[in-house]
Amino acid sequence: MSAIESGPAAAATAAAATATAPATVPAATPATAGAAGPARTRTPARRPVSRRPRFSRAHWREWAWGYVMIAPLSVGLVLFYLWPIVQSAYFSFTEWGAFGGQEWVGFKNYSDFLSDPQLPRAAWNTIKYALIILVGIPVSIVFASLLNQVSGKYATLYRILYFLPVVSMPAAVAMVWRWLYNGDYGLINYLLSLVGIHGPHWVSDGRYTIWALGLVGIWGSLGYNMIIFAAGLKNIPRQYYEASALDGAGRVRQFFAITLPLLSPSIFFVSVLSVIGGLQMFDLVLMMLGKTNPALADSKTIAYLFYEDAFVTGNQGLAAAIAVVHTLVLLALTAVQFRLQKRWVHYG
Amino acid sequence: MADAFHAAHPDITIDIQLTPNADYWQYGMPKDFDTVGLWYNKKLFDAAGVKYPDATWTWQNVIDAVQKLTDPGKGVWGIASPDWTQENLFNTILQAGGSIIGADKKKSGFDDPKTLAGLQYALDFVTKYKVSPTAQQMTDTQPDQLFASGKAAMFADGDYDLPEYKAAGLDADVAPLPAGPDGKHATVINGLANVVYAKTKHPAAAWEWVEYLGSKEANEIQAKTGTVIPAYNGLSADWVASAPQYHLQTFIDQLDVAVPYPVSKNTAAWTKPMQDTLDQIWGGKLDVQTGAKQIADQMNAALAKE
Repeated sequence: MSAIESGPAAAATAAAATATAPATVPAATPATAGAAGPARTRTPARRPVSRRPRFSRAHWREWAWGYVMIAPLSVGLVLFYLWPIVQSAYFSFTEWGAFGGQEWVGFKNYSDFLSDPQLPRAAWNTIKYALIILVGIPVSIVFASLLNQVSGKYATLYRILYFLPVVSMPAAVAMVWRWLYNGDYGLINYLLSLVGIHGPHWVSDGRYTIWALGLVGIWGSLGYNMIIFAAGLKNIPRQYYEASALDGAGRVRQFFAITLPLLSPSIFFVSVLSVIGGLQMFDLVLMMLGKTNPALADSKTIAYLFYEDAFVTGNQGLAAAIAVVHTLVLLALTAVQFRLQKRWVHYG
Repeated sequence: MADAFHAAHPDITIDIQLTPNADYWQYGMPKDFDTVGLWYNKKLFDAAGVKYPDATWTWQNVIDAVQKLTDPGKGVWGIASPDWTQENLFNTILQAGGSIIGADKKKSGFDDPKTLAGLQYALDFVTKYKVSPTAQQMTDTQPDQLFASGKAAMFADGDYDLPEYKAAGLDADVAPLPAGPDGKHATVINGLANVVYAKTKHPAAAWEWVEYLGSKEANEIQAKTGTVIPAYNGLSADWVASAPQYHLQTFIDQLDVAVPYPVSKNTAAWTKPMQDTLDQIWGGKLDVQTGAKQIADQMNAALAKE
């Protein structure tokens, strides 16, 4: 019961645009989380009614204990996620002075944000980056399928190698990639020069930055996605493959007729998280581009605009408005994904 | 807190009034100060047969020298001229006779033709003479790194990067910044201060710590390690002696022509759009006239809100 309950809660956390969502979802049971999530959204109104008998007094003690058990997680959730969201919503209607003090300004921050000439470019960059990250999903599936065929100690070794980027410090990762991308002395351009290609300044030329950052994003999320897909692949019964083989299905046919449909809950789960993660992209812009970069204007994301207003110019009210709009857009997009999934996700 | 500060240190307290008409004062325990000098790589100067820069140098001397020093075959640039403000542009603007912000902190100086001349001089190294790496190159490899690794013969930089060059064992030295077209010498001076949060719950402990940071002992540590020029009067000689291989006295001597780092009540509100626009100019997406006008407009709008 409680395991299933935590499913939608975790999904809701993810939908509320928190970067820690992956950590709160047990990586070993992604299918549970994916399966429980949609069930909740499909009949949100009727659920409590059908459960009414369970709320009887006879069970109050059990329920009380239940709340005690979830307190460690839910208290943190309320204190560090829900309360700040409420605060941010309030701040978004205020203007902050350079040395403290707030003033109620109504919707001024929202109109300032929506009329910011930087907004269209930043929105497009954010979407472009999220789309690039989505390309990482088929790549992860291919790698997970290949890894699924490796057995023994090498499987663990490969798994560790692919998972390393996920547990590496983002700042360190950004530093190393910055060196690799260096236009004059970088390894990538050196290798390109061996085949006669004069490589560009990947992270200081606005034409290439989002692609360069997107590649790092795919590389960084590959390991995590692969773990989810590997778990999903292991859950597909062997008999299906044997039966289809007897019927004469080849490997490609098996992949599209068995693997892909039965992996769809995992694909859905990963794509929801990828879209949220992609649209929140900020750290790579800050750490790989730096502050006096001629390509920065072409590469800012929505989250980067938020950072500039909150922490550079001290315009916290405007920053809060950006955060609120961004969260609402993410919620809406996630809701759309949950609607669309009925058409393509198969639950066993 | 302010009274205690005054009572304990009547001589070294600086009263900083950010705007002439502000209704409050801020107090800080002076920590250090810095000026900017023209660092040059002796080895590269010797190789090109160019005389070392000295106090008599003007912009024209620099322009003449960099063209001889630049050697594309060896990947050597005559100078690194980034769109950094404190190290480069604020100084060239002042040398040209321009200004960054008006004395009353209400108006931008970027619509002054002399300010434009200061920007143009620094930009010419990149676009006209092609003796400085491009903005892209200086983003991928920072100008101080280029200088520290012998890829740039000159770089205007603050004394605070001394530890980096010392650690690199660079055969370099430092000269005063060159004079502008009218013979004007100038460098920005920036000082840091340790302050206590007005609403702190532990004023006594905070004060004790800040008081120690303002002591002779704490300032001597900053001086003898060559970290930065200490604020404590009379200790700059210790800092100069910390790296005898460089003429660090240059930074102290430039105090005569130093101009306070431009600030207003909410400095970050206009420095960020200014830096963004400078990035566009250096990146070749905006010409310097349009850019300077844009900075002036953005700055005036931000200053009007203060």
